[in-house]
Amino acid sequence: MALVPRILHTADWQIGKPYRWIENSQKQSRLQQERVDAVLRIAEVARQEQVDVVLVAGDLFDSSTVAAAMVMEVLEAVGSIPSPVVVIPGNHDHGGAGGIWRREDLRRQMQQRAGNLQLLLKPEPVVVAGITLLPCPLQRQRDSQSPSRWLDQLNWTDLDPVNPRVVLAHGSVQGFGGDGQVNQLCLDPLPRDQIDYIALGDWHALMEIDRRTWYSGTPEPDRFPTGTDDMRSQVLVIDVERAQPPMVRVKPTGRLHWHRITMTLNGDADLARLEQQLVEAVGSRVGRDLMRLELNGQLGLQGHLHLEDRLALLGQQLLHLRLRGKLHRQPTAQERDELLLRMDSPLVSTIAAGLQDELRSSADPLVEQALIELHRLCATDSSATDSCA
Amino acid sequence: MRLIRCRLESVRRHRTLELSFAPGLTLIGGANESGKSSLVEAMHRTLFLRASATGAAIRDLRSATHAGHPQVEIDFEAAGHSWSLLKCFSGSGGTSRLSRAGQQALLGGDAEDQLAVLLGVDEIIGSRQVNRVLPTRWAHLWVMQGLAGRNLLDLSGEHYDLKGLITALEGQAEQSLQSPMDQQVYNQLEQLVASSLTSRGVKQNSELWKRRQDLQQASEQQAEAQERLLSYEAACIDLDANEQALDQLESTAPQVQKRRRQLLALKDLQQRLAPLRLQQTQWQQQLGVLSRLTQEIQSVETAMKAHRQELNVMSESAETISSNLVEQRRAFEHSDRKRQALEERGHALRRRQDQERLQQRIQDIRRQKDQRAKFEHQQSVLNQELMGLPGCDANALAALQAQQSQLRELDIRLQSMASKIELQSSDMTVRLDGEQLGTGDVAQRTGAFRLEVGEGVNLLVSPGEGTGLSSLLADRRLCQSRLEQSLKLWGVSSIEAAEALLQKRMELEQQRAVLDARLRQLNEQQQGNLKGNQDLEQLDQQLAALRQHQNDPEIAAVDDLEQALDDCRQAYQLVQERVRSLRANYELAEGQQTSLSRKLQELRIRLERHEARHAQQVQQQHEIESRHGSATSIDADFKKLSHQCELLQKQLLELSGDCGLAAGADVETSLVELDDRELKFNRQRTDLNRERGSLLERCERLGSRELHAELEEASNRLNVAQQAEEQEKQLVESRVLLLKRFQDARADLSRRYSSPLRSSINRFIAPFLQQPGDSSELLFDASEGLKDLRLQRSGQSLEFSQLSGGLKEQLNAAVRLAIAEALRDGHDGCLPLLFDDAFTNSDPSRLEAVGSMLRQAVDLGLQVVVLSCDPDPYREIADSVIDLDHH
Repeated sequence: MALVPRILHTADWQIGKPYRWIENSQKQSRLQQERVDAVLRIAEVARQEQVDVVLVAGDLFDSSTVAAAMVMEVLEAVGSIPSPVVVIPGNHDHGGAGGIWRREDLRRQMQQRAGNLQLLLKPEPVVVAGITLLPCPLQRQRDSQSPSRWLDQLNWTDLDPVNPRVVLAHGSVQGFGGDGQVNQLCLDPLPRDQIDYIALGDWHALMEIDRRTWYSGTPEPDRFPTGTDDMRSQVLVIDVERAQPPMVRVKPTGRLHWHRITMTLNGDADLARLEQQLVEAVGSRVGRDLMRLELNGQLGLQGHLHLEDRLALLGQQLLHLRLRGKLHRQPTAQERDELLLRMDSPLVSTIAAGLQDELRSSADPLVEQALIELHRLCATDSSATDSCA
Repeated sequence: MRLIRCRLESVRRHRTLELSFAPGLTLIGGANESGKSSLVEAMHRTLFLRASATGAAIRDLRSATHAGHPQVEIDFEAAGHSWSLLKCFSGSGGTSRLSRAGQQALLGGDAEDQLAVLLGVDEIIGSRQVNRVLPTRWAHLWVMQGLAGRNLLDLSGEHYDLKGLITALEGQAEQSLQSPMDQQVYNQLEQLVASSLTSRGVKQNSELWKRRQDLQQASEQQAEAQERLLSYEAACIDLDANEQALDQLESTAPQVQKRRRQLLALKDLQQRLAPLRLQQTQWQQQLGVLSRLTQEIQSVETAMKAHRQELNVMSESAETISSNLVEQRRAFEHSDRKRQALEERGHALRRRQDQERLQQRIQDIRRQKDQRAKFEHQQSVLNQELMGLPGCDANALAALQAQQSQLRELDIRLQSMASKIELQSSDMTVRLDGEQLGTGDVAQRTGAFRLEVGEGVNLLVSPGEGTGLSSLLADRRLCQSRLEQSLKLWGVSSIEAAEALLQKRMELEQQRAVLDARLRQLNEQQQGNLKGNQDLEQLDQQLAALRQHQNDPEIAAVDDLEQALDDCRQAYQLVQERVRSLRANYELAEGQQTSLSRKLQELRIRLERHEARHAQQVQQQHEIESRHGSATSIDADFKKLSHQCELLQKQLLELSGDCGLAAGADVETSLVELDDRELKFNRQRTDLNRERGSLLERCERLGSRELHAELEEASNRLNVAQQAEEQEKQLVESRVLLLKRFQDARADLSRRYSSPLRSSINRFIAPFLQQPGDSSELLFDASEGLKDLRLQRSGQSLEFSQLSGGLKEQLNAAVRLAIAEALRDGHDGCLPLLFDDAFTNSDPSRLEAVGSMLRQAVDLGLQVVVLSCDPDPYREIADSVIDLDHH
């Protein structure tokens, strides 16, 4: 045990997140499994850091309809954590009726597999391992009142004067993120000298609101990053003492890599540049990356075919490849000439030239498609002729 | 290809028929039923129908008169060689033979195949295709009898070798317009579009259709998944609300119980307080009644005293009034008697006055009567006097005066016309009409006169105006006699006397008028008073009646009657006035007496009433005091009771405050309300518990599925399906776009195809067109072929059907010639055209132009065969003439 109380702050495990947008069911279950495995990695950190208590600031489960097997598995993993695990319900796993915490199977499994799990459903001070916890649990998915409002009426002198005081809450901090009225935390009126640390959940990336107030982010990323400082693979280990600034350390726990690449291609030459970026991001790793690839600009027909081949390969290598953007296909000069200068088909040449002209003045996708289709028809035609020859 | 020779055997009416065709224009003449059409049909079937064909087309060729199967031999040039074709149509075993000089003859199928190649057709057809295909063969070259007016270009492309025509026209174009590759791409596109779309929309089971189905399904599934999730969440929310409601309900239960206890205590207090309050009220009432009674008795006694005093005063004044009344009555009666005496005297005075007036009046009337008699006497004297005078008047006098002045005037005129004779001096005696004239004498003569001077001189002087003088003299005599007559009438001798007479008469008349006036005046006066003597008698009678009244001597003695009457009247008025005022006073006093006695009566009644009431109240007071004790003892009891009530009331208020009840609120109602509330709570609890059960069941049932996951999956599938549908839709649309572009491009080609053909037609039809602007029109459509044949004539564009029969034939022929010209390159530069009675509707005058058109074709290298029942118009241009009638 450490000299000062030490807590592990985590949130938003979102166990049971379906990932149904991933077509391949094997890859789907792999992603789901990785979230459970992250708990094992958290257990490892807790063990190494000898924390006094693990605080989960809401959204341990993704929804109330998580499969029973998955529930069983994650509670098994929680059970392996060598310290008490204190959990508050969040908006995804609220504590009210219909919430997952009311499920009979879960309650049974909790007793059987995770005796160290302590679910805080009431807004009242609780002392765990010498730390005074002030939980702000969510009783329903959308609450228009701040879950922390009970603290406004709290008589702070009633609390133990020595124990460090930690607020545990889930929701968006006012004036930051969130969508206005629902599940907004109102922390401003709290007496800061009475509180030593505020452990927040809901925001999936790491964020320090102030020295004492942190969003730990999710331990295993579940969506594509919005920027380079978008950290989604960690837990926080905090040494906390009464009336002392907390000592916060970031411990990585994530395993899967989520990439977001946006590029504009202006010709077949840019394909090499793209390739370089792909290698930098994924390297030779297989089955551990997800990528959102946004490609804009335009490519020649041939270049496009090459790209398609490359992306097909990449798709196999990755857990998921999400393609976005509008990449236009326009015949290169050479390809154009192949169509236009055909002596054996004057009508096709005339029509292709007309389409090409239109495409130059306006990027009508229909015209673009027509040109490609014409190209394809001629290609199959000539190949048929070739094969006949 | 060029026809050289033809030989028929056993074909209809022909036993054998052999004829040669000129390289240019061959004319075959023959009357109807000479076998022209048989010849044409036999040749057509030989060229395009298999020898082994059976059926009507073959049976039709058989001869009814000649034995043997129909057999036809045609020699022709084609593909650079001379060929001889022989077909014997003997049913399915029919034979064909195609030979070329120096080569082994082809037989049967080989012969037919080679023939097809030479003729440029797909195949030589069998029996089955006869009906459909045979009529199309060489329809563009050969005009069968009766079909000359049919628009060739309205028929399908097969009828005019459209493919061959396009190939030929393309061959003539400067550069290739469309390649087989283009056609192939076009065909593919057509196929692709047709596989996706029909005229009604998306084709069933096409890729787009499938994707649309998928999309719809995915959309429905997504909606379902969303619905499921939403209903699950709604159920959860409901459950949450249900739990909260239950909790709230449970928390209110102890409150209700406490309130019930309080309300019961309150009720108990109220029950204890109620009888005390009742007693208190009763005593208060008795006290009230007693004090009210005492007050009333006092006030009644006071009133009685006052009433008695008033009664005394009033009785005294009533007596005074009565004595006054007797006095007044006496005075009134005295005055009235005085008034009556005065009235009597007034009447007597008036009677006397009347008597005197009547006497006066009778005297007046008598005097008037006398005067009148005197006037009437004077009047009769005057009238007699007037009667004595002649009845002359001023007018008669004026007429008399006028007669006299007329006489005087005539005299003056006579004098002015008379000759004046003056003897100024004479020494001899001068005599005028025998009378001697002295010196200085003047004489006047009217008319002729004799003048004697001396003795010896005798002069007769006659004035110039002899005639006028005589008439004037006659007038004068007449006038003189009239005047004398008039004077005689008047009874006078001169005018002056007449005037005096008239003067006297007028004076008399004046006197009479004055008398009349006075008489009239008198009469009027008389009438104004009374009428005649009768009235006078009446007056006398009245006077007698008046005199009968006994006259008071005192009255009779009165001198000044008027004065006495006036005095009497004044005295009467004074007395009358007095009587009136006395009566008014008396009546007033009488009224006062009556009202006073009424008041007295009333007062007495009131007094009696007060006395009765007083007695009653005193008795009531006695009764109450005997029953409840005296007022003071009641008051003491009441005060004690009030104190007790106040204590209880204070407790009650405190408890009410605790219960939150307003002072005076009904506890019973509150208790009933509380019961109601409790009942409602229980019912609510039962309801909520029941609802909770069903909600739990619903949550569990819905939550047993991975709703979130399902929704995500469905959404993802929807997304994919949308993309797939969009992709396919775009692909199909792009193909439609491409197809449209191809069709547009080919429509453009149409112009290029149709224009050389058009100019060729125009060249042939030129002899028939009248104006330089006239021409034909033609359209080409890649899928439908040539169409919309029109003719521009005199600025009007006419459809084929609008043309005259003759022009239809001519335009048709021109079209055929143009097509043949286009096609001939593929056939050694020549094709045979055949016209079987094809210009029957053309004017004889136009036939020359027909001839020149056909000749033009021959000059271009085409072969023309004309069959006609009237060959003469064509003889001139024919290279060879065959007369079937002589075969």
